[in-house]
Amino acid sequence: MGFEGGHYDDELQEMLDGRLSARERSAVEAHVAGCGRCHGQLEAFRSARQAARDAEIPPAPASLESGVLALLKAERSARERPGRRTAGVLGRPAWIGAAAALVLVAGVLAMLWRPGLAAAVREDYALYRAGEVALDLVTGDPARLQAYFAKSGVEFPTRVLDLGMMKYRLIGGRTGTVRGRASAFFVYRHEDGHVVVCQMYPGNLDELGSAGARREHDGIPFRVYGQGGVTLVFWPEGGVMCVLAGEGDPERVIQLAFAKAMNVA
Amino acid sequence: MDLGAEPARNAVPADFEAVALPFMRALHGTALRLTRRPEDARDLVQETYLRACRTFDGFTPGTNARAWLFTILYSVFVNGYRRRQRQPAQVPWHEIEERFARAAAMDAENTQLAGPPAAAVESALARLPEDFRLAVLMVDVNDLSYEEAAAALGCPLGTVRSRLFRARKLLYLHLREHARGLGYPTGG
Repeated sequence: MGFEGGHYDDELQEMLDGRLSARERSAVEAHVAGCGRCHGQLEAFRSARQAARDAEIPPAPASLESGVLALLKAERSARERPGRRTAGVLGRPAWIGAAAALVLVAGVLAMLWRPGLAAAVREDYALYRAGEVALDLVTGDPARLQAYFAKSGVEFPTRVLDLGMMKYRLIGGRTGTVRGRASAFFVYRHEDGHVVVCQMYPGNLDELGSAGARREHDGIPFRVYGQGGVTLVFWPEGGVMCVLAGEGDPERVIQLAFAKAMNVA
Repeated sequence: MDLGAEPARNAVPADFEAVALPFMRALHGTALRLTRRPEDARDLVQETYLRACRTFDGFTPGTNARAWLFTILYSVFVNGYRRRQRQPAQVPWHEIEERFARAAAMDAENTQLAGPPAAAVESALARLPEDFRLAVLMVDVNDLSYEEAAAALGCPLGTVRSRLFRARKLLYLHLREHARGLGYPTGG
């Protein structure tokens, strides 16, 4: 409690919000009753607070509820399958093990699909870097990780390269999702500590929309995004989208993507 | 090191929907006021529910589900939907404080801002710096306690109090500008 300059300040708000003790409240009320300045400010706070409390909350679109319900149904279906694997503290499951689940997921995806893939990939990168997402398999062996993805039900061909020539060492990987789509997620670390995350998921370049810088290398089209200091480089490999995410010099991430990309057109 | 497979966890608890779905409208309204884009708001809410579903085991029945869901919503928002790199709000607080004190003193003798139109409130909320808007959305619009808002936003309780204090002053000034624009008799 403060009473600087003969007036109350944040105590007025605290009183409005019912956060003062009875004794404190009595003191403030007694003062406000005889102080035009504090009375005016109390009423101003009350007006602003009431306006915000009365702010209309628009109804959620009906399609949102159906989308959420379908998503939960897909999640339940994946969880009820035996042998489900989990990844990371988020409990993101490897719900990609069975064709039936995939069909269900595909149906959900049609509802979920929105622009913002880059944001989703960036979030995954940030979560991994924040230590909030663990890897299912920690290994420096690309073949072993590819086998793990195949065994975990990733139904598209994954291509985990040895980037030792570029001085990047494979750390490991996990199955995940990109906006609900099954993904293979794997991580490399350069000997200088630079980390890049690669994800592969079913999709195509057109779904990214028109945003992002366009690059081309060896006949392969690339789409480059910068989000919050993270560079994201997308490119297609057949019906699979690959994306590399990393911080630092954007060109470093781009050049690594150029080295990793394979023209399968 | 092969972390291997974990045993299958329980299925999605049937009561997850009962606990979480009643807050869809509140979550969506807040998502809309944060992202300002309907498609992003929709994605944000869906990802919030998916994450909530997957962490429902950690939710304690009987505790505030609204606060729990808003904590998740804010986390998803910060990590994936914030449009620009986070920067501290650059607000001339000294000037704001003076304007607020002057306006409140004048208005006390005239008309208070009773029942401003919804569009004016939306506009005033949208003009608040994001950190301050979040404090108002959590505490005033969604009725979280200071403690719950602090937990949801990952900041100290004093920070919530301070942001709310300033946000309400700004909100008042914005609404007052609107009222004056319409010719309502506010002082000054």
